[in-house]
Amino acid sequence: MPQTGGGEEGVRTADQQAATRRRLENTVDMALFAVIVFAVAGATVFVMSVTIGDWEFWADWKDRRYWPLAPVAALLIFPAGLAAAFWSRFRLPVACTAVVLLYSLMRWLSAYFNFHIFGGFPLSFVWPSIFIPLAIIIDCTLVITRSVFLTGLIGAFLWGLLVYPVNWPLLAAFHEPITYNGEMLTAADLLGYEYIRTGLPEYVRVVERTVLRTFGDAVTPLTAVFSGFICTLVFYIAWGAGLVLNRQAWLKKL
Amino acid sequence: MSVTARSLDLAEHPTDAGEAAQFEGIRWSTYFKVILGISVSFFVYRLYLQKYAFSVGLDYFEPEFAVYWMRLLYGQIALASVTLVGVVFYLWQTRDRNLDAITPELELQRYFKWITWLASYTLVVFLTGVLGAESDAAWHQIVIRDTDFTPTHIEIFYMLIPAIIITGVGSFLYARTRLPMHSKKVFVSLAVAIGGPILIMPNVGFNEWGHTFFYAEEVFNAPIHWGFSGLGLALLGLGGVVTHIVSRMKELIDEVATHA
Amino acid sequence: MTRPGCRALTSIAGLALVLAMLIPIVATAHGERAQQANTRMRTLNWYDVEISPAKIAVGEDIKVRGRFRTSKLWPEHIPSVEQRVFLNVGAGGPNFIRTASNIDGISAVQSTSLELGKDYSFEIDMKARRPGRFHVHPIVNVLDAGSMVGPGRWIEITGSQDDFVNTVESMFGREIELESFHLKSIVSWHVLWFVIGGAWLVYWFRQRPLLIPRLRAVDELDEKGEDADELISPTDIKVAIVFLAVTLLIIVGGFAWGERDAPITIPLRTAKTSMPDNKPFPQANIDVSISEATYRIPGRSFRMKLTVDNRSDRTLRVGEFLCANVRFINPEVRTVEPIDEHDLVASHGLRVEGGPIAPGQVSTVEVFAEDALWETQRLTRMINDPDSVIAGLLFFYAQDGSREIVEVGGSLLPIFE
Repeated sequence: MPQTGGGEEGVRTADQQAATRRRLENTVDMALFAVIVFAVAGATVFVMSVTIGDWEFWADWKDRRYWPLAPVAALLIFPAGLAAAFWSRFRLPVACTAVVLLYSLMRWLSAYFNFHIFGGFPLSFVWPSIFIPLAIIIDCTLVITRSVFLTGLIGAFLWGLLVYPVNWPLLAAFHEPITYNGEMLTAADLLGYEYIRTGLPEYVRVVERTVLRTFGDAVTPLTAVFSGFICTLVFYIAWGAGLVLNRQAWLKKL
Repeated sequence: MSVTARSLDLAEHPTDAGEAAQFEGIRWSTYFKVILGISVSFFVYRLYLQKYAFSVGLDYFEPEFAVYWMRLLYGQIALASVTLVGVVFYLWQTRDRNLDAITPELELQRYFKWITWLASYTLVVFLTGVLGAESDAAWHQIVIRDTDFTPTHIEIFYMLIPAIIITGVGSFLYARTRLPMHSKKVFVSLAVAIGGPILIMPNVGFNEWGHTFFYAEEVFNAPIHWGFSGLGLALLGLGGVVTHIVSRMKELIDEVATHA
Repeated sequence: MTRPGCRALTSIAGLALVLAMLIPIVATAHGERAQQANTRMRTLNWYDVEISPAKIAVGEDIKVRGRFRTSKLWPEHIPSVEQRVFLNVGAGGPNFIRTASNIDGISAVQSTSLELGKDYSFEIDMKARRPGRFHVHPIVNVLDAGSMVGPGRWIEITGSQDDFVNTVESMFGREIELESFHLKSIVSWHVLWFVIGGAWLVYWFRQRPLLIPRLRAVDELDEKGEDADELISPTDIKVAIVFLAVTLLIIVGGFAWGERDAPITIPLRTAKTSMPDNKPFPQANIDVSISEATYRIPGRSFRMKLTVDNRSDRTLRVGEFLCANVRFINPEVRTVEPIDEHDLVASHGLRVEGGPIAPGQVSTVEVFAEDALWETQRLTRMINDPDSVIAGLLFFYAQDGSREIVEVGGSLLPIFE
């Protein structure tokens, strides 16, 4: 901190210096705020939609085998990558929550404007999943352990493990059986059948299909544990990539 | 926000005579005008899309399509090309030829301007990612795939992506021509964060080729789209850019705040 | 951003706005014409398609029904209906809901597979949902091949979407309004997590200014060789423990709430519907082969030279040639008028030289299909395709109105002069 005093002409007092510094530093925060918000929101939603989009778009893609695995693993890349920058240089354990909160907000924006207003689908068919608590878990783990390794092992594992229970209060009712024209369907299936998607026939859904070896019907717990494992790996890789890109490296030429 | 600037030899920094005469920190009016300008333009475009995509945008071979969409496409391509050339020409012609003599005040002011450039770039990235890409996702579920020029493709690939190129190249060149640290070297994270999204434009070639010849379904998360994912992931580089900006501005603010 | 940049974007917006204001709106058809001409002819041939009524109010029913024949000439390099298909609709979005559908009377809620060279009937029941004028097509999606589009009809829906309700009942008596099902819970849970997530961010963003002082502090500790983790205070840790505990508790509580809300659930349905095996090929009492097929480009005139063996006991005449949804009608045999402006009927498009074919007779018939629809439907683009094969259904009519339907196909020779 600057020293107080200093009455020499032309030299600013320490208080003046501190005030100027504070004002400018506040300006930097505010100016960068929009840049960070725009970039994070745009990048996350874009990457998610072209990587695992359909599981997030449609209620009849939210199955027990792939939906708790693919979207949650893909979504971790940006939070973990940016957490590396914000933790290593600022000791701010906010990146995961901030990224996911923005992502969720933008998904609502897109569900409403793109799928509901532009596409005409009911919101009950295109609602976004919840990921925010999973992000809070990682950020809190980072603060409590102050260890990247333990955060990956515990926080990122819980991120993958808990996505299904986190969303169950939203999803459960969509999986209640309905008798429809003599067939048994879920409400989610019925939405997919009734609300016409010309370009997305039933058969292209990448969802669980019957297999012989789901011992004891343990589909969801199995997927949850595997998802946790994958997310731990994704966390370490994305954290590493974040650190590499956060290096202040320069090239002489492009 | 105003700090008295040290005396400057304005002749050495002719293009920044105005900004250097008095240090003002960031120009919030410019900052918000840029954000508002881009947002309003996109909003108007979006209204147009809402009104004409389903009514006259379903069939490339209808004469109405040529009127409502192809003319718009040609106009966009022409405008984007002229704007890109104009931005590059302007930034290069007005470059600072004496960056060694730059004062901390001027450099700090330029960092704030650079943040304004980056805000324009990331705002376009935001519009592309949140409203552009997923409007195309919704579109493809509803229609039968027409030609490569559908209304949402005209929106994303020939309006938003060119805008990413213009603002991205502008952001890069602004730093290159006006910031001493960037004038002789290339900051890797910046190159990645801007280069990746720009490469989305050529990747459109692969996308359309693939949809024509080997991928007939409209699943949005299909591997054919993962080229876009990889290029979008390049935006992770912005973490490094933010760190660089904060780190350099910290040094500059220390100097500016100390000197009277 | 520079002023030229601003101006450019403003100009785009201005251009869009001006166009939006100046030009009146006209509704057009779908984009199936972009598909390659010869593949449109050699995949599914749709006929007897009825989509009615043409004008309905929101909430009222509409039926799409007809028949299609899977082509024997299906290009071998295109995945066929033998893999997986789904009976679908093109209607410009969810402007209708589909309430039931079947192929040959077998429910088509799930996808199925079909056989080549066979004839199928289909029905799709729909309910109008959003007001407007929509071009409705039956469609068969074929895995890895794309959408095979049937003929379209303009349907006008009147009324207001607000009047649309779509209620079903679950096996346990829960009334499900699909238009807004469970939305209150979905939004409430999201809001709860937004608040908790927001609280976490507010806690960390309370320090102002934030970024530079924290970077400075981390750098200083690093330079001194000390642990930058010292910046995390014991209070921070306590707060994190509280947030973590609350988060985990709410997750557990939410899961229990979900379990209580829907105690019995089933996974998404994915079974493939089986169609009866070995469906017989469509029978016809007539054999037809193409000995020559040419298309004279300047006159938009398609000519087929056919050898016809009439094995029936009735005199037959060529009444219609159906090709890529375009119906070329022989006016001497049938009177068919387009139902609307996009009904692809050439009422006088078919001319036949060679006359009626008597029972038991083998004769040579020349068929001329001439209409601007060749151009407007881009069928003439076939000469640009790597394999210029023409195919379609020929309809032979007897005096009593009975008919024989056969698929014909072969190479096409363009005449450029």
